[in-house]
Amino acid sequence: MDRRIVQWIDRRFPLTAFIKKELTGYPTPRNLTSWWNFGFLAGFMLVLQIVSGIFLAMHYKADAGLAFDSVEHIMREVNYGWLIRYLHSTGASAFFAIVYIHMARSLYYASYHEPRELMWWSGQLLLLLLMATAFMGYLLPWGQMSYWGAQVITNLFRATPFIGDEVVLWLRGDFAIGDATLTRFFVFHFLFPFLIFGVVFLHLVALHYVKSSNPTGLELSPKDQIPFHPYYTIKDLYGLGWFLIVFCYFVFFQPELFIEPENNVPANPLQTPPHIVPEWYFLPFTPSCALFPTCWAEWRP
Amino acid sequence: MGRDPDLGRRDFLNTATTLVAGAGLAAAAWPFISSMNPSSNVLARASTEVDLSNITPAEVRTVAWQGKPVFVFHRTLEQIAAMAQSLGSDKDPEPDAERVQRPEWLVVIGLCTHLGCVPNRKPHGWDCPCHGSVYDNSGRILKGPAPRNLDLPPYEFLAADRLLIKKA
Ligand code: HEM
Ligand code: FES
Repeated sequence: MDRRIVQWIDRRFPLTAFIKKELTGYPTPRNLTSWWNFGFLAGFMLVLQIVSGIFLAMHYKADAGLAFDSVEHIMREVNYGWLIRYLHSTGASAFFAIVYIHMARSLYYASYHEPRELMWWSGQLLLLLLMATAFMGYLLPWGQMSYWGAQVITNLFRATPFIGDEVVLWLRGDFAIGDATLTRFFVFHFLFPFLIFGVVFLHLVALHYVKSSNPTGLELSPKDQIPFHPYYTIKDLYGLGWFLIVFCYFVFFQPELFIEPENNVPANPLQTPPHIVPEWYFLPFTPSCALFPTCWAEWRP
Repeated sequence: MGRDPDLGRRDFLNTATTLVAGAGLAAAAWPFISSMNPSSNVLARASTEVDLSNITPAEVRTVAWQGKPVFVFHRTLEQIAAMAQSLGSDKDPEPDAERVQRPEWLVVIGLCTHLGCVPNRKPHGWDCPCHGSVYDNSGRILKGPAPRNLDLPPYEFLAADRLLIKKA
């Protein structure tokens, strides 16, 4: 860019100073391994989910009578609709895989220790929001798994003391999962990723204040720090290349691995499919179902 | 001080990497851009077949073609003769014979060439309700703000009484 334009902006907005402080001059431990790639990858997945989601939403209909067919329309008639949907449905799994690895890194290398406690807690909030987003997105194709998954999870709220029944009714807006539920889930599914975006921003503000942890678990002296750009921009992009190879394998060759066959059957409120299973990324939480008798009764994996 | 012999190589690698990444990004953007074009079910209804046998002389049938109105006008001998007399107006002079395949059938897109309103049928032709453009019985602009005669869709006669308005 023309130096005069940059100078004009710099007098009014700290553009150059910001880039220098947060990127070209941002001190990063020189010994970060590939385990430190996963935060960047999670950010990439958020952008990919938002972009593919927006393009899906241009063709999707959030109406109990139309939703299932509109997803079939995306798969068969919209140009590259199959690709956009498979990016989004496979992307949800990839997002969780990346976030779980990112969390495992934090646990193994004690990245949550003082002074990074708020990194851990804002991350927990991100995981919760991500789970809520994925759960509500899963209802949208309005297949049998969508329907009964939502049925079971909303029923968990029956465990709320005293007002359980009212809470469940309120969440669903209907006596069972129905059109009202679908419409509100669509609205929240659209909204939440942008909330996630905001929390990611806070997560990064905290990070740049306390700086990255590193594999030694010690705080490094300044001579062991190198600028983020170009060293870690390149390392992150290199990792992205490897990730995309694996991700594209699933998108192009195994996309149905992450879509239950039963979900290609339209939702039927009068019949539960013989085997109800959660998405793999919710399996770690399935045992907690045992805490909720109503849930356990309806959901036997 | 001599130039670092590695610099040329690095410049080359930098440029090549940027170009490959740019091409990759453009290729990845294409499916998203393409998804906003008409889907195959929309394209499938891009042509319209019209049964002409029940359109009486002097009647105008408005049919939908690609979601737009098309006027199929069964002209009488007097109307044909009247239209053959003139070239319309100075704005867009055109002989009637060049606007029809068969003189008794005028087939025009029923959208005003000004800003796209649907003109209303009148004995002399059509009047546009939006800004007052006036068209004759050949769909030629006579007066008003419209710049051109009514456009002709691509069509062919499949039989004496079967008209196919085709994909462009
Ligand atoms: C945090 C990011 C997101 C996650 C984890 C996520 C997850 C999901 C999941 C698991 C599904 C069901 C996939 C299927 O079986 O086809 C889905 C569907 C859907 N999502 Fe998202 N999503 C995200 C962001 C978005 C955004 C930002 C939008 C729109 C602006 C969106 C729009 C849709 C639509 C329209 C569907 C229904 C079409 C379909 O089922 O393929 N998503 N999402
Ligand atoms: S649109 Fe017909 S006169 Fe303006």
